[in-house]
Amino acid sequence: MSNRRATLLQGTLDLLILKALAAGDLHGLGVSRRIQQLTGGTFVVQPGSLFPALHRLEEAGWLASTWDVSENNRRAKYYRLTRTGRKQLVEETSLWKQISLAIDQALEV
Amino acid sequence: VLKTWRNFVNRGRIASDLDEELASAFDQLVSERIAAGEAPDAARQAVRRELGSTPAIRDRVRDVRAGALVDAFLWDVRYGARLLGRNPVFALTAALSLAIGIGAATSIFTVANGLLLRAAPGVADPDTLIDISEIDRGQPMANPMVAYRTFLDLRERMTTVDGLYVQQGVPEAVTFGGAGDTQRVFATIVSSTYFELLGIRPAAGRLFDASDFDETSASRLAVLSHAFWMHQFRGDRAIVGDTIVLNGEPFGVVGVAPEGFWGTSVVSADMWLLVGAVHFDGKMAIDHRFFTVRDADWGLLGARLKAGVSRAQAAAELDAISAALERDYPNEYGGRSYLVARASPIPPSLRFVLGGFLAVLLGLVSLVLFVACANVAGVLLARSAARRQEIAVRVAIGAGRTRLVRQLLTETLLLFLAGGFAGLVVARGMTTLLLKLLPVFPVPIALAFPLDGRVAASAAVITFVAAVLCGLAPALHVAKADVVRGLKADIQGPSTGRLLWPDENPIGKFIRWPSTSAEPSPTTFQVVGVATDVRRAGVPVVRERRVAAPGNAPPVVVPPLQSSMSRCNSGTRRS
Repeated sequence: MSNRRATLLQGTLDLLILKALAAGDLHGLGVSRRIQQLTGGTFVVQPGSLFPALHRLEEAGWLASTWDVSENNRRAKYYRLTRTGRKQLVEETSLWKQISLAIDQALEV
Repeated sequence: VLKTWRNFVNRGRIASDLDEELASAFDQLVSERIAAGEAPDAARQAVRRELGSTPAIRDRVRDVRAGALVDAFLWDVRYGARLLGRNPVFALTAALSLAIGIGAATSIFTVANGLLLRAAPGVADPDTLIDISEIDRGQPMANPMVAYRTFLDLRERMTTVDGLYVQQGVPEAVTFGGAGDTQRVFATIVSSTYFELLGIRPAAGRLFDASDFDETSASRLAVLSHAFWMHQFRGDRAIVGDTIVLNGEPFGVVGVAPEGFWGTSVVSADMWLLVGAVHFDGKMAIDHRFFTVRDADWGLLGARLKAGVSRAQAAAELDAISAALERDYPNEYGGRSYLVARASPIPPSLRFVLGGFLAVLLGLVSLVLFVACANVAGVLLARSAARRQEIAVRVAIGAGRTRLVRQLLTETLLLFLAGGFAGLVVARGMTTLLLKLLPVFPVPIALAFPLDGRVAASAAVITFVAAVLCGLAPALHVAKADVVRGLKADIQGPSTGRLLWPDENPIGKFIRWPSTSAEPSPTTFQVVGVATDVRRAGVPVVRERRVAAPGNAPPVVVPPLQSSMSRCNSGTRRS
């Protein structure tokens, strides 16, 4: 099951990260927890996938990062959505809705 | 590209940022667990399990960054250099044998480049300069020279060129100086268009130009070569406008050619005279037939193409002209035609001969290079067998096959790069030596074999092809290595003395080593035999027992093999 969950996650990880950051800035662990919370615990992002994805999105210019003090008074790297990141979120959301609608239809036949 | 560069420049900061980011996440998880009532040590251990291997995460983050390949390549280069540095005897021997092979091939190419592909040094805009050879139809390797009248005929009729020049094919030996103080010098007779069409600027005074006449016996003027000027007059500018004595007759010196220009053929003249210097009686006499008939062999033709005209167009025009000339003068121009080629020191009709000769030489030299490659490939192969254990450990902690092949190829490339550079030095030495060893010709010869961009590019291509050809087999062989067997070999101790299994020699598929062939006769294979001996002898020297981290990062943090192997079995990590 854990394997299948991981593959499911792969295509949607970027979208979930963008969505998690839409409400406000978070550090890496925060992103992972927000995703867990948003999906009702269905998706647990492993650090081995999370950090590369965060850096990839930052590289793509969808995220920006700043160093700030975390809740336990330690320096942490906070990510926020950039303007292009927000645009990307809107695009990917509508794309995802199309796909999800199509698959729902297909499965209901 | 910009990102790659930025990441490359900031790679230190990026790496430390990442470390801090991960450490911060780690700390937070730990403090949360402690807050929940766990013991600090237990909490730390649990988090470590939860987070997984930090170096692995770091590797994966690095891989998504732009320029990850550049980074990896730099690691490979550094690691490879370290390995080579630890086996200097192997590195030096291999680089040296490659240097000889690459150097020999590059030398031949340098000669071909200097004689066949490059215009003579000093001329301007060589791309639009052409050489024209007169040949007998059906005999393209004939004497390229023309009579002076032919130059006049072609000059009159050609429209695709800005102008035509002619220079005497074999320079004239003349006596320089008078009254007891004489020496023999060489003068080349040229048309007044010569320097202008070549785009040569004088070092002093002026060169021949349109104000000079091209009629025989019309003028007694001379342009000195720079070398002759320096040697004879110590670079004194006062010689311009002065008179020198040639064959007992006075000639006015109008100027000096620039340094580094000695004419457009392989013959280097001390001075240039105009056609006007020629007269058919007296002391400067030249066989008058050269100037009065149309089928004599006297001069070499060259021309400057008009802007936008191709060599093919000029050649087509010359075909038409030669047909017309044949009609007009059937006795003299019967069966003649013209060959056009890019300007170079060798006339077009002689390039086939020289080119063929150089091609044969290049073939021979390629054999030398091939032997050198086989030699090095053999040693690399032996090395790879000795490194089986290192590779096995790498695979076990998650290095991918492509990554390993890339690293091993980088090591080979490094070796070949050293060989290639040394090869260029060898080529330089060999061509210099060649110039020194030239036999004495009846006329002074000047050759230039510059190491220009084309030569460097050819050396690079030769090096690269050789590196891939002989690095690929060992690299693939190593990457194929069986992890479990490699690790077991470590347990048993690698000192079994058996380093290559007969069925594991991939080169054996292509080359029959003399030890297995019935009649090892020609020299080539004896040299290969030496190669195999080196291969065997080289093994103990080059054994490499260092353990390296996956993805080639230097820290040698080796996790317990059992756990990392189980991780490896559940799915190989892409690196």
